[in-house]
Amino acid sequence: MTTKTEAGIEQRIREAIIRALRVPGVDSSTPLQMGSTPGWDSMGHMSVVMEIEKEFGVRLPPYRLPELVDIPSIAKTLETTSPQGRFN
Amino acid sequence: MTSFADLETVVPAELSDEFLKRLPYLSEGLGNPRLLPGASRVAFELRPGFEDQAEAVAGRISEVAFKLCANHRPGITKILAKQDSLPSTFREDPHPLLIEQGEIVEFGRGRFGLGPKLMALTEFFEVRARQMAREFQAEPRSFPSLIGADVLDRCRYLKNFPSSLNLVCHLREDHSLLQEFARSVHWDGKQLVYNPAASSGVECLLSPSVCFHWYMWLKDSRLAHPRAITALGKCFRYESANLTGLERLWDFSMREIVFIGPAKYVLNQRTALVSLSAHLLDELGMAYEITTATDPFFVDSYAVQAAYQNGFELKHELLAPLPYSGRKLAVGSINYHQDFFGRSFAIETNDGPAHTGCIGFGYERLALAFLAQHGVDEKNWPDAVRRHLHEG
Repeated sequence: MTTKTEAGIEQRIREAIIRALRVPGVDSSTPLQMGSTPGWDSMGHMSVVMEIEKEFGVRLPPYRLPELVDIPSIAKTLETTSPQGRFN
Repeated sequence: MTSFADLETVVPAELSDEFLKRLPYLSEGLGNPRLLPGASRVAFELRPGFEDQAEAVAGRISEVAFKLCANHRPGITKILAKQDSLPSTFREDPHPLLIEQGEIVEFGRGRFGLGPKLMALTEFFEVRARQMAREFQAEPRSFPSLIGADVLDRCRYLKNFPSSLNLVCHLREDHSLLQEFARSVHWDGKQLVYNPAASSGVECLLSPSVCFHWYMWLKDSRLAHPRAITALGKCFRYESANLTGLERLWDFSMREIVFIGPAKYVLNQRTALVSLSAHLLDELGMAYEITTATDPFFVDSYAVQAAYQNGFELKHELLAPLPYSGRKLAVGSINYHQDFFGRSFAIETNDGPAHTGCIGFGYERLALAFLAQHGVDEKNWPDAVRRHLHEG
């Protein structure tokens, strides 16, 4: 079951992705995924990463970047980012 | 007189080489920059005529340090294959010995001619690299040394690596300008002196790599099946004060094997390339490491692009230790570009935009590393290489 907090985090992730990619015409039902969402290619990925980092005040090490392919995976990565993994 | 730049940030140890390599591009007046202990201060000299620019140059140095370091994400270097043992006790710099033997001549910065022994050695590399290409059923191709500016624009090379570009121009089709050029052109000891108005715009550049031509060849197409090709080319990258003997040339020879198709196909070829490259370096009797690496992207976007490349493990380098300096030299690299070139050149597969990958061997660097480890006396070289020298 998704808690209210989890839903809030997923919404913040969704909004950060939309800001990063400047995707037009996206509503809450549009799936967002690396490789299929317009602009979320190899170049767009770092924009997504940086916007997520800004939103959540974390700095993710390079080895975690491939994990961040959609909203659930980003939420999971943020959840498992230990304080030691946060550079800021 | 020595000037100093105080940095707003400490340059991390893993970035210090990358940082210092960027500094020669900051000003034509900048000489001998060095990072001082503590890694937050740079000492440098100013060449004659630039003495009044200390503050401006110091500001640029500080800006580069900030851009490289502020968004830096420490990456992990993975070692995929390794051979630690050096093949001999030879520790000399081969350059002076090769000059003495008439095996190399320096025509200018980053431009060297090779003699018969070095040619035979590079021919051996070529035979082996082509054998490797045949294992992948790679078709032989040939590409020009000139590459269209449109090609490099399409794959963002112009924006990602501006400092290494070599623009090509010709004289404009204008009889009076040609006459004036012929009357007045002369060499002033450093450069050609002529009226720049006689120069054309830039339609082509000297190609920095071999594989870009292949992607342009396939542009706007759909691949029915994965493809592999191989080509030998002259490549050109301007490296300013970093140009150092055969270690870092302006004009060098590269054999590439290039793969294009679905992601799984390209990744499988990459795995095979790591193992075949290790086998080749073993046959050459060399010490080496094959590790993950990053490209020297332009400073403004370096931190972000390097983090992506490192995180996705897109670049592997074949590093050979140079016993005379204690440094490691990249003699080749294995690159996986994901769908970057497939999207840039609109090349499709049944699974979506094509993925690409390649291996490139820099022959002059490989020859230097081989000679630095084995010595310049062919009697001490591995049997397979000596047999090739004598039997062809």
